[in-house]
Amino acid sequence: MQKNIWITWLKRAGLAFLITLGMLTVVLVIHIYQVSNRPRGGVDGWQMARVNFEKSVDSTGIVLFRYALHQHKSVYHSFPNMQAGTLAFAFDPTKTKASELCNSVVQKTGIQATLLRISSEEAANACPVIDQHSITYRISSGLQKLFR
Amino acid sequence: MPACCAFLLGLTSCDKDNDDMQEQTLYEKLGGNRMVSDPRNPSQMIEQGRLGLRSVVDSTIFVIAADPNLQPYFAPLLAEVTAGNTTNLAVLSRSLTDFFSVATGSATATYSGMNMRDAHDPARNPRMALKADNKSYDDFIAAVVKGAQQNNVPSELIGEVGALIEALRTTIVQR
Repeated sequence: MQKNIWITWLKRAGLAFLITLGMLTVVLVIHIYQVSNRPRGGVDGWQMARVNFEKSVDSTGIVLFRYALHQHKSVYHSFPNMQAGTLAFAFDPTKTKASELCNSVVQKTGIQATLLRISSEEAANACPVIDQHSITYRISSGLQKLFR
Repeated sequence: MPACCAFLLGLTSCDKDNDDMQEQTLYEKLGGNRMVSDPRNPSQMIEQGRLGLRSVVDSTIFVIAADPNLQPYFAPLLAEVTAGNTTNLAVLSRSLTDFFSVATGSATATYSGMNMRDAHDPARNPRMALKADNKSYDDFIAAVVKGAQQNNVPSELIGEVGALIEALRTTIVQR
Protein backbone atom coordinates (compact mmCIF):
# COMPACT_ATOMS: atom_id res chain seq x y z
CA MET A 1 0.00 0.00 0.00
CA GLN A 2 2.72 2.40 1.12
CA LYS A 3 4.75 1.46 -1.94
CA ASN A 4 1.85 2.27 -4.27
CA ILE A 5 1.49 5.71 -2.74
CA TRP A 6 5.17 6.40 -3.29
CA ILE A 7 4.96 5.25 -6.89
CA THR A 8 1.89 7.44 -7.49
CA TRP A 9 3.72 10.44 -6.00
CA LEU A 10 6.80 9.78 -8.06
CA LYS A 11 4.70 9.55 -11.23
CA ARG A 12 2.98 12.83 -10.40
CA ALA A 13 6.26 14.54 -9.61
CA GLY A 14 7.77 13.22 -12.84
CA LEU A 15 4.77 14.37 -14.83
CA ALA A 16 4.86 17.82 -13.21
CA PHE A 17 8.56 18.03 -13.96
CA LEU A 18 8.06 17.10 -17.59
CA ILE A 19 5.17 19.55 -18.01
CA THR A 20 7.22 22.35 -16.43
CA LEU A 21 10.21 21.48 -18.59
CA GLY A 22 8.01 21.46 -21.69
CA MET A 23 6.51 24.84 -20.84
CA LEU A 24 9.91 26.36 -20.16
CA THR A 25 11.18 24.99 -23.47
CA VAL A 26 8.24 26.56 -25.30
CA VAL A 27 8.88 29.89 -23.55
CA LEU A 28 12.58 29.67 -24.42
CA VAL A 29 11.87 28.89 -28.07
CA ILE A 30 9.41 31.81 -28.31
CA HIS A 31 11.93 34.11 -26.66
CA ILE A 32 14.75 33.07 -28.99
CA TYR A 33 12.45 33.45 -31.98
CA GLN A 34 11.47 36.95 -30.91
CA VAL A 35 15.02 38.02 -30.18
CA SER A 36 16.33 36.54 -33.43
CA ASN A 37 13.68 38.28 -35.50
CA ARG A 38 13.98 41.63 -33.79
CA PRO A 39 14.61 44.35 -36.37
CA ARG A 40 18.34 45.00 -36.48
CA GLY A 41 18.93 48.71 -36.35
CA GLY A 42 22.07 50.78 -36.38
CA VAL A 43 25.38 49.03 -36.21
CA ASP A 44 23.92 45.62 -35.33
CA GLY A 45 24.39 44.17 -38.78
CA TRP A 46 27.23 46.39 -39.91
CA GLN A 47 30.54 44.96 -41.02
CA MET A 48 33.62 47.15 -40.81
CA ALA A 49 36.58 47.31 -43.15
CA ARG A 50 39.48 49.63 -43.83
CA VAL A 51 41.38 50.69 -46.90
CA ASN A 52 44.96 51.94 -46.76
CA PHE A 53 45.92 54.52 -49.36
CA GLU A 54 49.22 54.68 -51.17
CA LYS A 55 51.51 57.42 -49.87
CA SER A 56 51.03 59.37 -53.07
CA VAL A 57 47.31 59.80 -52.37
CA ASP A 58 46.61 63.16 -50.72
CA SER A 59 43.60 64.29 -48.70
CA THR A 60 41.71 65.27 -51.86
CA GLY A 61 42.14 61.76 -53.18
CA ILE A 62 40.83 60.33 -49.92
CA VAL A 63 37.79 62.61 -50.05
CA LEU A 64 37.10 61.56 -53.65
CA PHE A 65 37.49 57.89 -52.77
CA ARG A 66 35.13 58.31 -49.85
CA TYR A 67 32.57 60.04 -52.03
CA ALA A 68 32.72 57.25 -54.61
CA LEU A 69 32.46 54.64 -51.87
CA HIS A 70 29.26 56.19 -50.56
CA GLN A 71 27.70 55.87 -54.00
CA HIS A 72 27.22 52.23 -53.07
CA LYS A 73 23.96 51.89 -51.21
CA SER A 74 25.32 49.13 -49.03
CA VAL A 75 27.87 51.51 -47.48
CA TYR A 76 26.50 53.06 -44.30
CA HIS A 77 29.22 55.15 -42.75
CA SER A 78 32.89 55.95 -43.09
CA PHE A 79 35.64 57.79 -41.28
CA PRO A 80 38.86 58.97 -42.92
CA ASN A 81 42.18 59.38 -41.13
CA MET A 82 43.98 61.83 -43.36
CA GLN A 83 47.24 61.69 -41.42
CA ALA A 84 47.47 57.93 -41.53
CA GLY A 85 46.03 57.67 -45.04
CA THR A 86 43.25 55.27 -44.13
CA LEU A 87 39.50 55.09 -44.48
CA ALA A 88 37.38 52.94 -42.17
CA PHE A 89 33.92 52.16 -43.39
CA ALA A 90 30.88 50.07 -42.54
CA PHE A 91 28.66 48.24 -44.97
CA ASP A 92 25.92 45.63 -45.20
CA PRO A 93 27.70 42.24 -45.41
CA THR A 94 24.55 40.55 -46.68
CA LYS A 95 24.67 42.62 -49.85
CA THR A 96 28.34 42.88 -50.72
CA LYS A 97 31.91 42.21 -49.66
CA ALA A 98 34.57 44.68 -48.61
CA SER A 99 36.88 43.52 -51.38
CA GLU A 100 34.20 44.07 -54.03
CA LEU A 101 33.54 47.57 -52.74
CA CYS A 102 37.23 48.43 -52.63
CA ASN A 103 37.96 47.05 -56.09
CA SER A 104 34.97 48.82 -57.55
CA VAL A 105 36.00 52.22 -56.17
CA VAL A 106 39.66 51.77 -57.10
CA GLN A 107 38.66 50.92 -60.67
CA LYS A 108 36.23 53.80 -60.87
CA THR A 109 38.49 56.50 -59.40
CA GLY A 110 41.96 55.21 -60.14
CA ILE A 111 42.94 56.12 -56.60
CA GLN A 112 45.41 53.61 -55.26
CA ALA A 113 44.16 51.90 -52.15
CA THR A 114 44.28 48.40 -50.75
CA LEU A 115 41.89 46.65 -48.46
CA LEU A 116 43.35 45.78 -45.08
CA ARG A 117 43.11 42.05 -44.54
CA ILE A 118 43.15 40.73 -41.02
CA SER A 119 44.67 37.33 -40.51
CA SER A 120 42.77 34.79 -38.44
CA GLU A 121 45.61 34.97 -35.92
CA GLU A 122 45.21 38.74 -35.53
CA ALA A 123 41.45 38.40 -35.30
CA ALA A 124 41.75 35.80 -32.58
CA ASN A 125 43.94 37.91 -30.34
CA ALA A 126 42.31 41.26 -29.78
CA CYS A 127 39.24 43.17 -28.69
CA PRO A 128 36.20 42.94 -28.69
CA VAL A 129 36.42 40.82 -25.61
CA ILE A 130 34.34 37.85 -26.63
CA ASP A 131 35.71 34.38 -26.84
CA GLN A 132 34.13 32.95 -29.96
CA HIS A 133 35.48 29.53 -29.08
CA SER A 134 33.67 29.45 -25.76
CA ILE A 135 30.87 26.95 -25.23
CA THR A 136 28.42 29.74 -24.33
CA TYR A 137 29.18 31.60 -27.55
CA ARG A 138 28.86 28.44 -29.65
CA ILE A 139 25.55 27.45 -28.10
CA SER A 140 24.02 30.92 -28.41
CA SER A 141 25.20 31.48 -31.98
CA GLY A 142 24.02 27.96 -32.89
CA LEU A 143 20.57 28.65 -31.48
CA GLN A 144 20.43 32.01 -33.25
CA LYS A 145 21.27 30.37 -36.56
CA LEU A 146 18.37 27.96 -36.12
CA PHE A 147 15.92 30.84 -36.28
CA ARG A 148 17.49 32.76 -39.13
CA MET B 1 19.05 65.73 25.73
CA PRO B 2 20.24 69.05 24.23
CA ALA B 3 23.38 67.28 23.11
CA CYS B 4 21.23 64.63 21.47
CA CYS B 5 19.11 67.29 19.72
CA ALA B 6 22.20 69.11 18.61
CA PHE B 7 23.56 65.83 17.24
CA LEU B 8 20.31 65.11 15.37
CA LEU B 9 20.21 68.70 14.11
CA GLY B 10 23.74 68.32 12.96
CA LEU B 11 22.86 65.13 11.10
CA THR B 12 19.86 66.77 9.50
CA SER B 13 21.85 69.76 8.38
CA CYS B 14 24.56 67.47 7.06
CA ASP B 15 21.96 65.60 5.02
CA LYS B 16 20.62 68.86 3.67
CA ASP B 17 24.11 69.95 2.72
CA ASN B 18 24.66 66.62 1.02
CA ASP B 19 21.42 66.96 -0.92
CA ASP B 20 22.35 70.44 -2.02
CA MET B 21 25.83 69.40 -2.93
CA GLN B 22 24.87 66.12 -4.57
CA GLU B 23 26.10 66.45 -8.11
CA GLN B 24 24.50 64.93 -11.14
CA THR B 25 26.29 61.91 -12.45
CA LEU B 26 27.82 62.14 -15.90
CA TYR B 27 25.13 59.73 -17.08
CA GLU B 28 22.44 62.13 -15.85
CA LYS B 29 24.16 65.05 -17.53
CA LEU B 30 24.02 63.11 -20.78
CA GLY B 31 20.26 62.71 -20.42
CA GLY B 32 20.00 60.11 -17.68
CA ASN B 33 17.26 57.51 -17.64
CA ARG B 34 14.67 59.59 -19.48
CA MET B 35 13.21 57.30 -22.12
CA VAL B 36 13.36 58.46 -25.72
CA SER B 37 12.71 56.82 -29.05
CA ASP B 38 15.71 54.88 -30.33
CA PRO B 39 16.76 56.37 -33.67
CA ARG B 40 18.16 52.96 -34.67
CA ASN B 41 14.84 51.33 -34.07
CA PRO B 42 11.95 53.80 -33.63
CA SER B 43 9.64 51.12 -32.23
CA GLN B 44 11.89 50.81 -29.20
CA MET B 45 12.70 53.19 -26.38
CA ILE B 46 16.14 53.83 -24.94
CA GLU B 47 17.48 55.84 -22.04
CA GLN B 48 18.76 59.17 -23.28
CA GLY B 49 22.01 58.79 -21.35
CA ARG B 50 22.67 55.43 -22.96
CA LEU B 51 21.76 56.77 -26.38
CA GLY B 52 24.29 59.59 -25.95
CA LEU B 53 27.01 57.21 -24.84
CA ARG B 54 26.24 54.71 -27.60
CA SER B 55 26.52 57.44 -30.22
CA VAL B 56 29.91 58.45 -28.85
CA VAL B 57 31.04 54.84 -28.68
CA ASP B 58 29.99 54.11 -32.26
CA SER B 59 31.78 57.19 -33.58
CA THR B 60 34.83 56.31 -31.49
CA ILE B 61 34.95 52.81 -32.97
CA PHE B 62 35.24 54.29 -36.46
CA VAL B 63 38.08 56.54 -35.32
CA ILE B 64 39.79 53.53 -33.77
CA ALA B 65 39.31 51.45 -36.90
CA ALA B 66 40.96 54.13 -39.01
CA ASP B 67 43.96 54.40 -36.69
CA PRO B 68 46.79 51.98 -37.61
CA ASN B 69 48.36 52.48 -34.17
CA LEU B 70 45.34 50.95 -32.47
CA GLN B 71 44.90 48.17 -35.00
CA PRO B 72 46.70 45.46 -33.00
CA TYR B 73 44.25 45.92 -30.15
CA PHE B 74 41.09 46.01 -32.24
CA ALA B 75 41.90 43.89 -35.29
CA PRO B 76 38.70 41.78 -35.18
CA LEU B 77 36.70 44.91 -35.94
CA LEU B 78 38.08 44.79 -39.45
CA ALA B 79 37.86 41.06 -39.95
CA GLU B 80 34.91 39.75 -41.91
CA VAL B 81 32.56 37.55 -39.93
CA THR B 82 30.75 34.64 -41.46
CA ALA B 83 27.21 35.22 -42.63
CA GLY B 84 24.61 35.27 -39.92
CA ASN B 85 26.99 36.02 -37.07
CA THR B 86 26.92 39.21 -35.06
CA THR B 87 29.57 41.55 -36.37
CA ASN B 88 32.41 42.55 -34.09
CA LEU B 89 31.37 46.18 -34.47
CA ALA B 90 28.04 45.33 -32.82
CA VAL B 91 29.75 43.30 -30.09
CA LEU B 92 32.21 46.06 -29.23
CA SER B 93 29.55 48.77 -29.43
CA ARG B 94 27.35 46.92 -26.94
CA SER B 95 30.17 46.03 -24.59
CA LEU B 96 31.71 49.52 -24.50
CA THR B 97 28.30 51.20 -24.15
CA ASP B 98 27.45 48.91 -21.22
CA PHE B 99 30.77 49.66 -19.60
CA PHE B 100 30.54 53.43 -20.05
CA SER B 101 26.92 53.46 -18.89
CA VAL B 102 27.87 51.78 -15.63
CA ALA B 103 31.04 53.83 -15.22
CA THR B 104 29.21 57.14 -15.70
CA GLY B 105 26.59 56.29 -13.10
CA SER B 106 23.66 54.58 -14.81
CA ALA B 107 21.42 52.96 -12.24
CA THR B 108 19.92 50.51 -14.71
CA ALA B 109 22.82 49.37 -16.90
CA THR B 110 24.85 46.30 -16.16
CA TYR B 111 28.31 45.38 -17.37
CA SER B 112 29.01 41.66 -17.37
CA GLY B 113 32.42 41.70 -19.04
CA MET B 114 35.75 41.10 -17.36
CA ASN B 115 37.13 43.66 -14.97
CA MET B 116 39.40 46.21 -16.62
CA ARG B 117 42.66 44.87 -15.25
CA ASP B 118 42.01 41.28 -16.30
CA ALA B 119 40.48 42.29 -19.61
CA HIS B 120 43.72 44.04 -20.57
CA ASP B 121 46.09 41.40 -19.28
CA PRO B 122 47.04 38.87 -21.99
CA ALA B 123 47.78 36.32 -19.29
CA ARG B 124 44.21 36.42 -18.08
CA ASN B 125 42.45 37.32 -21.29
CA PRO B 126 43.55 35.33 -24.33
CA ARG B 127 41.76 37.83 -26.57
CA MET B 128 44.22 40.55 -25.56
CA ALA B 129 47.10 40.26 -27.99
CA LEU B 130 49.53 42.49 -26.16
CA LYS B 131 49.65 44.75 -23.15
CA ALA B 132 48.60 48.33 -23.73
CA ASP B 133 51.22 51.05 -23.47
CA ASN B 134 50.81 54.73 -22.67
CA LYS B 135 51.06 55.83 -26.31
CA SER B 136 48.22 53.51 -27.33
CA TYR B 137 46.16 54.67 -24.39
CA ASP B 138 46.71 58.30 -25.42
CA ASP B 139 45.53 57.35 -28.91
CA PHE B 140 42.48 55.66 -27.43
CA ILE B 141 41.57 58.73 -25.36
CA ALA B 142 42.06 60.92 -28.43
CA ALA B 143 39.70 58.61 -30.34
CA VAL B 144 37.03 58.91 -27.65
CA VAL B 145 37.37 62.70 -27.62
CA LYS B 146 37.04 62.77 -31.40
CA GLY B 147 34.01 60.48 -31.19
CA ALA B 148 32.41 62.78 -28.61
CA GLN B 149 33.14 65.86 -30.69
CA GLN B 150 31.47 64.26 -33.70
CA ASN B 151 28.33 63.96 -31.60
CA ASN B 152 28.46 67.57 -30.38
CA VAL B 153 28.99 66.59 -26.75
CA PRO B 154 29.71 69.81 -24.79
CA SER B 155 33.41 70.28 -24.11
CA GLU B 156 32.98 70.23 -20.31
CA LEU B 157 31.35 66.81 -20.55
CA ILE B 158 34.07 65.60 -22.91
CA GLY B 159 36.50 66.70 -20.22
CA GLU B 160 34.64 64.58 -17.67
CA VAL B 161 34.64 61.56 -19.97
CA GLY B 162 38.35 62.12 -20.56
CA ALA B 163 38.98 62.29 -16.81
CA LEU B 164 37.03 59.08 -16.31
CA ILE B 165 39.11 57.22 -18.89
CA GLU B 166 42.30 58.78 -17.58
CA ALA B 167 41.46 57.40 -14.14
CA LEU B 168 41.58 53.90 -15.65
CA ARG B 169 45.04 54.38 -17.17
CA THR B 170 46.96 52.72 -14.35
CA THR B 171 44.63 49.73 -14.51
CA ILE B 172 44.66 49.30 -18.27
CA VAL B 173 48.20 50.30 -19.23
CA GLN B 174 50.29 47.32 -18.18
CA ARG B 175 53.61 47.85 -19.93
